[in-house]
Amino acid sequence: MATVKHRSVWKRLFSNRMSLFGFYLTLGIVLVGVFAPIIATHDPNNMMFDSVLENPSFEYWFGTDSLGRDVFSRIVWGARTSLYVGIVATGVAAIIGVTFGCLAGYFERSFGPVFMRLADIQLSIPNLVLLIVAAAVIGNRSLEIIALIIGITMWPSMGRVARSKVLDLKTQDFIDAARMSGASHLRIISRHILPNGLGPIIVIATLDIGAAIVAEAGLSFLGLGDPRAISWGQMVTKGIEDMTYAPWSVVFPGMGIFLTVWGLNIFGDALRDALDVEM
Amino acid sequence: MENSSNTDDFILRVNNLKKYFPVRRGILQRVINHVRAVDGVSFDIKRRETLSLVGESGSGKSTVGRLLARLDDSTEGSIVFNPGVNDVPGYSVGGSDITHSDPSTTKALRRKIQLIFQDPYSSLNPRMKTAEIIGEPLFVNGIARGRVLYDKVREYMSSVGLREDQMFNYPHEFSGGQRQRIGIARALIIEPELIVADEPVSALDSSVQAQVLNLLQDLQKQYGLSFLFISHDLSVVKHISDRIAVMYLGRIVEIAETDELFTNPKHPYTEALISVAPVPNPNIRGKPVILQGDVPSPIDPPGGCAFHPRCRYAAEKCKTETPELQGENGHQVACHFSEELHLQALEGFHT
Repeated sequence: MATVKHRSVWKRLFSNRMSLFGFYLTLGIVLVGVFAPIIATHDPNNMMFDSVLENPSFEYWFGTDSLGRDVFSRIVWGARTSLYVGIVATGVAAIIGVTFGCLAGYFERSFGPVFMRLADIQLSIPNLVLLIVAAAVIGNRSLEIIALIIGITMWPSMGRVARSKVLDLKTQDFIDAARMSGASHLRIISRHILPNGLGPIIVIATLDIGAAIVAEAGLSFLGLGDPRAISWGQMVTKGIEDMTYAPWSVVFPGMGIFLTVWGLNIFGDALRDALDVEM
Repeated sequence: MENSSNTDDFILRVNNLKKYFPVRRGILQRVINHVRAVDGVSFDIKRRETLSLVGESGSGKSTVGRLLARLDDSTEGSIVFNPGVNDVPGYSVGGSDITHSDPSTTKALRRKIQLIFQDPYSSLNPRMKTAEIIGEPLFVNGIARGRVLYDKVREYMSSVGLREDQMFNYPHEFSGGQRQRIGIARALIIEPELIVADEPVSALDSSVQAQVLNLLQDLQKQYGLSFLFISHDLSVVKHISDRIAVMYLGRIVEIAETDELFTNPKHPYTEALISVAPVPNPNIRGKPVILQGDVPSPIDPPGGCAFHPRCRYAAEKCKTETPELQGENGHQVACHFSEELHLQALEGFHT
């Protein structure tokens, strides 16, 4: 019964060790990103040419890179960049996707087919190709622009989930009851449909943050990221040249990407189970 | 109602109402056929009267209710609300056909016609508090806000038998019967004149059914409401109806006052329904008339009288000619042999 569900969402979320692990991992990365200035041991951009490619030590926990920058500090600041891009991109995808999805589901006959074709067109273009072209065409490659582009490539999945949830909710009697009350379309969507369809959207958003982080790392790896940002993807690219004798300059940023995305995915799966969302 | 100085005492007049749902197939979604959910239904409802619509599932009775509430668009026919009232101030709807009313007329109409839903679970938004659910009609119509709204909600909660201190509880904290009371309060708070109750008790336990039925009757007296009561169960509607219309495959096959229908049924289908309705007396055992087969598909209904494949009195004529609904003294029946047949009435029927 739907009745018992609400109270025990948190209980169920944390009853499972794996979900707890995912939650703490995600929380940890977020805290690292938020408190980066405190946690970082060095200035991440300070080039110390007298200590280039040093081994990990008590002074440089994760070693230094080819320009003599402290890898640990750069990873800490990189967490902030990754989370920022992940959250902004997911926000963009959610705003576009949920708006279109709601309209497509609610106005099934008129707007539905238009939405589906738009989503099909978007999905038929490989995301990486779209990202590369967009990043190359738009000269100004700030983090915001990159997040925006990534968000735009991700909206169809969010939109489809929103649409199918709206189609499902629309058949419920309380929507007819709201119509009988004289509620406007806007009120029905915002007060009756959205609050009940939030579960799957939250789950998708959590998973999308991970996907956006990977996309940003990929773009930076290809040299299409924000050149001024401290990005894990960029660190991997730069480090590849020195990988044979200074593996720490690649392994640690790679671990950063891996742990963040892994944590978000476990957490997303746990949320899906706890919210009992059918996808 | 003060405005009805008019002699006309009907609140609703439905004429030849039809609803065909298209059946679509293939990639082009071409319409290949129609489900004739409602296929030419005519009736009227008097003020303060309870008319019951009875039939099996698939007979189109719920669709009629949804058409009256304008939740679906009808294919053909007319529905006139307040047929005797023409442009009287305070009545923005009345006197004219509402089957294709514009949104503002529909909104005005829904202040006069309200719906009580069958399923007390899916009819309440699980994310809204009781006070928000019950008060929504007043809120969205701009009739009351804030304190006034809450006072009104309290008033209606107590009149449907809910405790006022439960007004900030969520629906999942209530039982099925209580949830149905919330639905009833929501329907009544806007002070409608006609209530369409779509199987309001069929999802409830029989002890709770009786409570809710009694509540509906009390509220009808208190607020002077007219009811269209939709049910599949003759024994439920027996005590609360003034008149009963029996539907079969989208048509009314018999309509009569309640006593008349039970003591003198004229359609074989009504006879079958009556014979299987439980009687609260173990010494009385009527012969149950068990119908053969299922309700035919409303996509391709049988020719002639739609009931003929299952009728034990069917003759050649029934297969070819469709009987018209006709009769005197408010007892109308759609059967070629209604005068010749002597059908079994409800045994031990007392009113």
